[in-house]
Amino acid sequence: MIRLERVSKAFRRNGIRRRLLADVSFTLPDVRGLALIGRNGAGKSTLLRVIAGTLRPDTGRVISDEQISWPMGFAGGFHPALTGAQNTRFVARLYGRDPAALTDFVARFAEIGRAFRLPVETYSSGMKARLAFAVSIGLDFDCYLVDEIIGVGDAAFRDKCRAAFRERLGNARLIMVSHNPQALAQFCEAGLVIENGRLSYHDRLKDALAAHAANLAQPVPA
Amino acid sequence: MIRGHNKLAVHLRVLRALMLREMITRYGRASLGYAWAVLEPTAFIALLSLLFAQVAHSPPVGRSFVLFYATGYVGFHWFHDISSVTARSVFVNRPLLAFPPVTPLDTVIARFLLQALTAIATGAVIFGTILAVFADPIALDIRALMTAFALAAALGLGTGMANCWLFAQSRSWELVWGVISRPLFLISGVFFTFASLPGFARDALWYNPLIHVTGFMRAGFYPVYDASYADMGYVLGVAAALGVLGMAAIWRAPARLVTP
Repeated sequence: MIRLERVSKAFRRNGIRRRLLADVSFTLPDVRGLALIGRNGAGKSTLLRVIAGTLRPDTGRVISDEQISWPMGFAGGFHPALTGAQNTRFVARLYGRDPAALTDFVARFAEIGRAFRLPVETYSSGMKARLAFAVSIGLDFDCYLVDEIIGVGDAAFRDKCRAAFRERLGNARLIMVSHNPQALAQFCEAGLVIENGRLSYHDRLKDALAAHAANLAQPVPA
Repeated sequence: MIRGHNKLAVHLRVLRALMLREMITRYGRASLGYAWAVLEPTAFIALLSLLFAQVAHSPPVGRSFVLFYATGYVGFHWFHDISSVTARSVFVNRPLLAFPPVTPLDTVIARFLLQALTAIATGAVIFGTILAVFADPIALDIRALMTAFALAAALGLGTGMANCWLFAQSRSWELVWGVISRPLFLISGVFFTFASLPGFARDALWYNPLIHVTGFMRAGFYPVYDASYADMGYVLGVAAALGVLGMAAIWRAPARLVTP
């Protein structure tokens, strides 16, 4: 269960205030794959960070009894100067898991070969995505937060991730941000549209995408 | 939101992971590695000793130039090292804040602990060598030495935490601090004693907390040294005030420390 209670979040920069979440109270529905959709800057990544607990809302709180992953995306996460293996051991220690076991799993799952022993700063974005997925799948979270990164991997790896989510993580769920409708359709059955600080839930992804398209036809809210 | 563990256990786990990571990135890659932490202050003390041995007949206290400048500089070095490393802890670890268990305060504490351990090792090597090679056997006042270390560390942590926030607010302050913090040792009693100053200078410099650190340090090595001016409460008060200021800012607005 993940519930937002009266959550507000605004950013102020150079005197301009942008309100991304406006007093939102919402219990995330219990679906396996939930797409988070919205225009650029609508607050999708912000919402993921608030759910993960890495960003404190201005008001309100998030209540959860689930083990939630970090928001897997391009910004942050792995240390560029450390190798994939060193980063994996760091994350294992962070979550109190056996570093050797996780390293073995990731080496097999990520399929990045000898690059696993090279610094992450030498990785392509596809390799980073493989590493992030392998590490997080190895950690058995209840809820996975995915920020765009899934569109990066090639089709074979995407299938592998989906199979892993389906097979190993019977009870796990996925909340996913992507501008790629194909990737969303592969993983998600329902959608949450964020617009002007408010959330609207659609239990069919198709409807969510349609609502999003309707929003895009309107001018950007002030 | 970590299931089945209490908060303290999570923090300890995070601290351990951060410290190990820090050791790999900081000391694993430089060719001199950890040795540099000791070499840098040693070189400076040697330089001071050589210079002043040319112009003065004997140091202000005792007979060993090296011991006199070491007792002055090591305490300052502890402070300077700890404060500059902790000041950048949130900034350098910002990618890792993407992991929910890692809080900004964890990154500060991890860097502080590691640097404090490094400071102890540095002090032990420098003073151990000096006592073994140069100086006559002297009776150490361990309690005064521990006080000097604790005060330098507390002041370093407090200053570092305040700067954590101030650096994020103003890049100019970071540059200004870099310029003014080094020459601080000129007024911290590294190459003079507090007692040798004229009255007005004593009254003014008493407010520099670092001169108290030097006082406890010298009292630890020289039984005759008069450190009655040194006030532990004053230094701890300054450290606590800076620490509370920085802590409040780190706690309240972590996002602003990360995206300058």
